[in-house]
Amino acid sequence: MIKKVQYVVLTALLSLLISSTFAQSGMVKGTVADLKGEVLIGANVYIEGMTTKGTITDVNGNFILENVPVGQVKIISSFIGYLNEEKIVAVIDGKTASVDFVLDEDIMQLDELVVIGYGTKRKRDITSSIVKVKSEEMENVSVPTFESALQGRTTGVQVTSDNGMAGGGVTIRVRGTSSLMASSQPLYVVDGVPIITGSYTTDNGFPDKSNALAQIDPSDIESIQVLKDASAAAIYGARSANGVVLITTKHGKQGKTKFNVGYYSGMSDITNKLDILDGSDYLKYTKQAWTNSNKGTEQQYYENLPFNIYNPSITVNPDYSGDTDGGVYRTNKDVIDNTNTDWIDLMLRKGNVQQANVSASGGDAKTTYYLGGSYRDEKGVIISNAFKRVNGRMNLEHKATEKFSFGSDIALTYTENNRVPTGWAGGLGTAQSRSLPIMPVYNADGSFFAPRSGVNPIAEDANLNYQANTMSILGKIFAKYKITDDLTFNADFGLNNLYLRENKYVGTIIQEDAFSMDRRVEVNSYNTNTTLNYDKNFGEDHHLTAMAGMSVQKNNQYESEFNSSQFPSPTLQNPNSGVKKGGYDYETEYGFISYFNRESYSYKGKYLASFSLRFDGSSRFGLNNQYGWFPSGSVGWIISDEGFMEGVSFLSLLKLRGSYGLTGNAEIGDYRSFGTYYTTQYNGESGIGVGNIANPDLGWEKTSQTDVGIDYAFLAGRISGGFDYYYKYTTEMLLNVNVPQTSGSSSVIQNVGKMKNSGVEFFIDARILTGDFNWTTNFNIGHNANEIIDINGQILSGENFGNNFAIEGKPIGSWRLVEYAGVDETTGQPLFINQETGEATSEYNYDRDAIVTGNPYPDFYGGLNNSFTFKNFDFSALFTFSSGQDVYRDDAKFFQGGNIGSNWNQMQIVEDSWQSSGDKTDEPQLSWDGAGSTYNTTHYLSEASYIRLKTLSFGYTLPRSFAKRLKIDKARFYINGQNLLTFTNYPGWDPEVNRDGSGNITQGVTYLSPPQIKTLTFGLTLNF
Amino acid sequence: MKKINKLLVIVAVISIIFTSCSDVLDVEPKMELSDQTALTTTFGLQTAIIGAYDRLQSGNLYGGRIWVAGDMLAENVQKSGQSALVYEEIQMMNKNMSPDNLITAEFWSNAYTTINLVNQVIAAIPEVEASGDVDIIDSKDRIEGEALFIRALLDFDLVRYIGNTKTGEGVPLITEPTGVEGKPARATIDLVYSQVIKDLKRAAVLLPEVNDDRATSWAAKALLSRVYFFQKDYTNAAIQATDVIENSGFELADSVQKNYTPNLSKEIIFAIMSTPTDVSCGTLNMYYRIKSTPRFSPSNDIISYMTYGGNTDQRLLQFFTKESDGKFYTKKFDDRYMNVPVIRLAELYLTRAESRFNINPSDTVILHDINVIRKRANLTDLTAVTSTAIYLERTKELVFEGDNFFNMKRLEKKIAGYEWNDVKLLFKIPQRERDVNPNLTQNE
Repeated sequence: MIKKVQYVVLTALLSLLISSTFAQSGMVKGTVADLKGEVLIGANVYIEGMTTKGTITDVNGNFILENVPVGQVKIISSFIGYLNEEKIVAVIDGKTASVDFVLDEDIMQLDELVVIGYGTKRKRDITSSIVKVKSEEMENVSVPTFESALQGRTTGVQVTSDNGMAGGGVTIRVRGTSSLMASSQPLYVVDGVPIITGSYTTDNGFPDKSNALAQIDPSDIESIQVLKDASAAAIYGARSANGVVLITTKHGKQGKTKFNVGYYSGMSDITNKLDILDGSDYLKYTKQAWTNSNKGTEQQYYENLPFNIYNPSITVNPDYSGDTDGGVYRTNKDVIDNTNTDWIDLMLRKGNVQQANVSASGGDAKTTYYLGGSYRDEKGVIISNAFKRVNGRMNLEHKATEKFSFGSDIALTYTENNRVPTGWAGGLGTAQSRSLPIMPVYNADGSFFAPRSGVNPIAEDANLNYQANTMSILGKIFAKYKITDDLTFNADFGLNNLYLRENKYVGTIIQEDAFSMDRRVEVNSYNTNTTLNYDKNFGEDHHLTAMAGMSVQKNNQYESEFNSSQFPSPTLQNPNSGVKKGGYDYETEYGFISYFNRESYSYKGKYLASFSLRFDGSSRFGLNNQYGWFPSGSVGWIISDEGFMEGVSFLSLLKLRGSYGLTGNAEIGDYRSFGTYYTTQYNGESGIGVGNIANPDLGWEKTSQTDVGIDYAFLAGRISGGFDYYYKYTTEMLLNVNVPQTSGSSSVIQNVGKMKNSGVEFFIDARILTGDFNWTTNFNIGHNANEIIDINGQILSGENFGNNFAIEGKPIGSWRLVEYAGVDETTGQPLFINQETGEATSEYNYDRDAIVTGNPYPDFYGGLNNSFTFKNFDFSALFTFSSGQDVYRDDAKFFQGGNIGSNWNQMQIVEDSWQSSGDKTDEPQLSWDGAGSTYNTTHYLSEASYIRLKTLSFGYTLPRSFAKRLKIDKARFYINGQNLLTFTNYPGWDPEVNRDGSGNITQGVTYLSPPQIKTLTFGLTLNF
Repeated sequence: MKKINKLLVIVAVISIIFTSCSDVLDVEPKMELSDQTALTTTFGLQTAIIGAYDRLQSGNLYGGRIWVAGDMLAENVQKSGQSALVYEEIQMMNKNMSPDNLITAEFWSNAYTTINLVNQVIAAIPEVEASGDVDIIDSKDRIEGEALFIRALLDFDLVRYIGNTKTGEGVPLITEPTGVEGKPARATIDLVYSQVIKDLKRAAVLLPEVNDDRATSWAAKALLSRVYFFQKDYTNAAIQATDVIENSGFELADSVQKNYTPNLSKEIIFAIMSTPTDVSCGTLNMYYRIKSTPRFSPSNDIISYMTYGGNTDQRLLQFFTKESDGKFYTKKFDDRYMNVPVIRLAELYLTRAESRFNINPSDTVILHDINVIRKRANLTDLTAVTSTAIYLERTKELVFEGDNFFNMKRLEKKIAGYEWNDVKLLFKIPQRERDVNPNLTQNE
């Protein structure tokens, strides 16, 4: 009864409201959910052909469509990432019909938007090579910076973590190395703003790189696109030859406020431990070397160990008689024989990491926002090495009118990095090498033991303080104006500022005079983008988009350092307290001014073409050559949409595409075209000297790239993927061309070189099982071959150390080494191949016998990911692999060369050293001071192929019903592992390594480099 | 109409952005001078001369390796074991220097960079004069004199280390800027020496007697004496030495140790100067300084020379010590702020003594000069002199100052088992240099 009354009242009311517009109409209500039963919020529901009469679902997935004309009506529900569903509903005048939609995921996601430079494009219409990584893929990875998350997930992008240090650097190569002198790192653009990259910390004594990209919190990232081929990247003109990484941060969507809380915490450890000798073995093998070299008695052996044990009772006076001092010997022997210090162990610890992030996003029809904050605290595996980050981001957009909107994307980040010396500079590097296991950490009186040669790394750690704090601002303000339905004007102004402050104090245990430093670096970069975007359909078949714009960027950098030494007290550590004050300042700047346009056309949605042209000017180039043109074009053909393919039902997508374009590289440093005199000083007066030789013709390094690719999908997208072949040819490569030094200069920078990279890339994504048990596999593999074509006939050595070279006809970074031929069975001496006779000889002659060998870059690299979900459980495992690259162990010649008097501890492999005539081994007889054994030979060049379980994660999501009771949308608990397993034959710490000072040519070299780490974290994410 | 207004606004906005950005590419180095203006004033030329001294200060030149290289080749030093020797040092110790030896390559590059700089200065003097800069009138002699002195000093050491006496091949002789295209061949040793002598004679005329701790006319004459001496032109060597000893006003420091301090002793005729923030001796400290885990300790030969003749010798007591590892070390370069002496009066006494000895062994000046040196070292006077005594005194006095190697070559003594003129004792022409300049022949 009551129901009937309600009905009458309701109908009456509704009739009153509606009667004026529609004579006869009803309502349709229902819910929209996905296959798992989760409701979809914000899904579109509309009547066919009447999209403007549509509505969207509310927070519970419900919708009500009003004023639906009576009769059989086709209702459609759509949602991004899902396939549309259509239902026919019988609508009766004045009544409410019910219909529920269950949307199936759109596996191919061809309508998904892909970010390209200065715009977006539907995936279907893309005719270039772009790889996209979405935030969900990074969620499972507890890495400090986003580049690490790209490893193994992006076809054709090679990612190498230089080492496992907290706050350390990452090397990225997109489709190989296309430069010798200029940077080979890609251009990074965040929400349209090119950002500051690289390492700004001082390398004085702390050679390993820091990473400016740590200013971006991975949890703020919505998606990353890597523009790989010329037609995608050339819109960034002069800076696009190394590819472009576009990062889009998270933005709010209309709807209720969504909170996301995440937390993880875990521990880390080194991936592998180096096998070096312990105390008793060290004594055993050094004594053997002493005897082999006929150096003398055992007493003299002890005297000649490269240090003395402190004994205050012994005073040493000038003594010209040549007597040996028995007192020193006796004191040494007792302590030495009873000491067994594991220095590496002492320098390492179990690291730990925790990160918390909170975000809120949402908005109404006019204003949307994303607000995020995070905190990360990481203690590295090397003692005293730590990294902290606090980050906040606010992305806001407001529609002032239907036509005009504006907003801002702003992030503030503060990082704190406790840095430690490594490699040759000390710390763990010393612990691996000059800190012998027979040295004690402390003297009997409790003071730090001080070896005569080098530094006790534990004492060094206690006496050293080095912190690098960075404050960065990354943001932009923007405005959009819709001039007509088809034409939009966009303007934005972006900023990226980085303020680095470094404080270092080195105490008197480490060096004679204490040293303190306060160094500041300020990098200010601003950028404007102004574009007009046009997008129009002409009839059914023609779709044209066009964009024209200009951009200006200016970047300046200021550095200053104030330092001093000789302090009155170790408690005073500010530079002002030191007696001997010093410092420097430095200033540099560059500017870019660019005009660009791009037109894309599609005919019937299956014939696609795109063209772009950029005109770029840079202050970095000579006055005669300041501007350059960067054109590109691409075409695509969606064969699967052709009528003749209709019968091939298993093929869901087959797209052929091809592109060609010209990209540039301008990363050579500022002012290189100017002729300069540097300033200096002598005896308190200022002086000058000949600096750079002018080259007003200095111009871009140009890389043309051809790309041919296929995108495919089978079985309604259950299997999909792509294949690309590319050929990159770099010409007018910037090169320091050597000139006779009798001219007073060493080299002149010129555009002369040529280099090529070519390769293939393949990836496949397969949804093997769907439903309750869901199994997805992704596999990608890339191959790149590099060859230096022309560098003026020069043989260029690497940027630093390690015997890498650039040689015409060889891949960049090849080594020149003498071929090792094992050990002479009768003498125990190392043998080398004489390249003139082809015979083994004990003579080491680098000039005659060095051969070009090895390649620091892999032949193949990629990843294999398997993800499973079963009900509320999820599990995924990502393996990465890298095959064919070599690593030159530049330290091994001291570690295992048989030259045991080099004051270094030795690798356990010296156990295999030659003992007596007839021994077959690769390790020569141990000798005390055999100079011959520290030669650079192929013996220390090792293949460093590996397969690594990069990421392993296991998660559990609370059942929906239970979560609902807790008033949350989603709660997931997970365990995540990074680098848990590594399969390799590489004999050093870890095959993934890049020593300090690495560059384009110096790659794949290790010299006491810190190891990689494995990490295990536990975490949870809550959405409500 | 409305549409047109909007477009106007947009056009206005764009044009503002465009015009405000016109200076974006207008960027010039802020830390460096333009090569167009650097050498166009007297002040510019003076700072370029200071820049040339700064180069001499390099650890690869007179700040260190130019001395140490000779001592490695002559085996005046041995590996101490405290710090490892690097590749190029091992090569020098073993007398198998390759064409890529870094010490020889850096010596070459720094020397010619400096020579080019002073040549640029000499070439620019007439232009500055023509520009009407009046300061040049009073300064040009000094500027040209210093330029010539620096060029002569470097040419002399280049030809000593690289010149092959067997073939007569010297080093490229660069007396004016060559430009980066220039590919000079090696001049003959004789030609280089005659240019060195010519430059020094002219420098001696142009330079003042006192010159702010920089090159003076006395420095030019003292160096000229050294050049003649190693040319075995003993008559001229003695003439120049006498001029300096008698007329310059320089005198021996009361203690030899005073020559290796941050203060210029009255004995030092020319030194590479240190200031607390710009030291010259860092490389020498690295090789020798006891507290700096030195790479070298004195060789047994040097120890036997130093201890010869008793333990009262100041030069032994002040400069040698036995450390806890049982090895001798030198303390000569223990001061971290010391100036590096390039030429000091003691050498001129020794040069004159030996020169006169070679002309007339009974000349009384010889005994006088030797005893002046011995007396300062707290040794008793000799009553008669022999060539051995002169050699011993010179070696002891100038030990680790880069003299002994060339002195042995001058005396045609065997050096580390090699004949004095063996090509193994010569620096190689750097390979990178021969790669870009095919006119250069190698020492082989």
